[in-house]
Amino acid sequence: MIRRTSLGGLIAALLVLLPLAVQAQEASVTTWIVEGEAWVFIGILVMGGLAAVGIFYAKAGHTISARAMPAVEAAEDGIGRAVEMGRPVVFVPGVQGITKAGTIAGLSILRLVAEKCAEVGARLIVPCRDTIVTSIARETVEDAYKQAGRHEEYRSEDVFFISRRQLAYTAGVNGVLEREHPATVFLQGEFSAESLIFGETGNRAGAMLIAGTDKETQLPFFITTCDHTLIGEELYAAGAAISKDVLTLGSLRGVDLARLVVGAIIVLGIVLEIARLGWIRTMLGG
Amino acid sequence: MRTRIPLALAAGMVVLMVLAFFSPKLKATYESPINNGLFIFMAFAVVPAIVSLIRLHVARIRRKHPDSIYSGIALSALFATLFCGLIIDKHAFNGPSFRWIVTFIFEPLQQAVFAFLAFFIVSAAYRAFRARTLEATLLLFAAVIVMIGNAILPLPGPSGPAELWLLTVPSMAVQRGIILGVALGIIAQSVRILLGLERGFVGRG
Repeated sequence: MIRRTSLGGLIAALLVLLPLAVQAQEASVTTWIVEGEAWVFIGILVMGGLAAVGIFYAKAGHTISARAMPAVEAAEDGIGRAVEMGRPVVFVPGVQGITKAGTIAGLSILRLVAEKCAEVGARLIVPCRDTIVTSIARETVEDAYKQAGRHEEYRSEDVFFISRRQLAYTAGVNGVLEREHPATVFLQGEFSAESLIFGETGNRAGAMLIAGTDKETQLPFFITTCDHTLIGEELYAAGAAISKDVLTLGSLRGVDLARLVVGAIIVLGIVLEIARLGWIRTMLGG
Repeated sequence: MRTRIPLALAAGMVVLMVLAFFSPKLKATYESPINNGLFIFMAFAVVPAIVSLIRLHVARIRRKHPDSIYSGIALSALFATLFCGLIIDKHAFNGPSFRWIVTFIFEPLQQAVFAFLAFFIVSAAYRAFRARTLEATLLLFAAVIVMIGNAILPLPGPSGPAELWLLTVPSMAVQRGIILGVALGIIAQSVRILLGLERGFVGRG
């Protein structure tokens, strides 16, 4: 599967890239390669390479385990709680479009939450802000119910679009939380100023709140108002941790390796700076 | 096939976007067609989204849901705005009646929702500071220093005012740690998309 998709991806990239490259010859911009970004390019290649190493390490049959994340463990309890209380689960997939990495991570978590809801028979409500995200979320939830053999329990009206406007969407989600009194609310994806409003309204509705965002500016609001919060990169790791898919877990091992490399560079940089040797800073354009 | 083609296309886009980021010439060529394509997709996606919104509210009104009055208001607002934009303003984007709705109805309502934040900040702060843990105490301590420093009197800190030190040293260090982790998470996600392991955006498993 990996080989087929990568090959397909490379062919797709070539098919798009070749005509564009030909067209690019005539572009008014003259530079082919941006100056001073070489180290960023190398860094991306090395970090991406390490993530791939982790995946292939897992593919080779090595056991990979992810560290326990309280928010991930609470997700299952939260869905069980909804069934016991006879109240729905609300999943808010962030306020950004599908082009944002955080939204994709949020949708991966939605898939796993929908599977669990379908399995135990919990009602899942997904209010969306982006039209493309609405279509994907609807297909994701419907497919999860189908896979669980409970397609008849899927309610298409529970995955719906509210508004493209940030605060109109916020008011809409608030309305859903106040009216439906959900047992558990998942806030997973990219959020802005509305994070605190969602957290406080969820609290008022008496829901268990499980949040996750990669926006460091919104994290204090989630940490203050929610029961569990996935902090930064945990949002990207949660999907793998819940699914327990070996290859996806392998990418987390790769990220750990990358983190070690970055940590080593930082320590080396500090030591060299103390020794008044600033060549790492100069090399990285500092 | 319905899963493989989107996965292959997404993998191709990962390669294209990385290369284009480092090539101004390539970026200048690709940016406009890709963005146009995205707008076209969004325009197509608006139709099922609006239809689902109308179906949701119509079903609620038909079922005589206790809150169906709000569904009635939402539908009336939707059709009134459409009527103003398409019929009264004759398709003119930002026409006078459409502008009136935005200025005198929509914007005040938006500001009202945004104003909730002030009250929610107080209630969230109360909850956070009420929790009797070490973390809550540290949070309270830091918040008081920053508030006093900004509003009344700067307190002396390790290097300059204490509130400035708190924001630029410990807080900034933690933020950078989170940003670094997020960057590595995004790179790993891109590799998973490239290899067809990340399927959250496809919809089907």
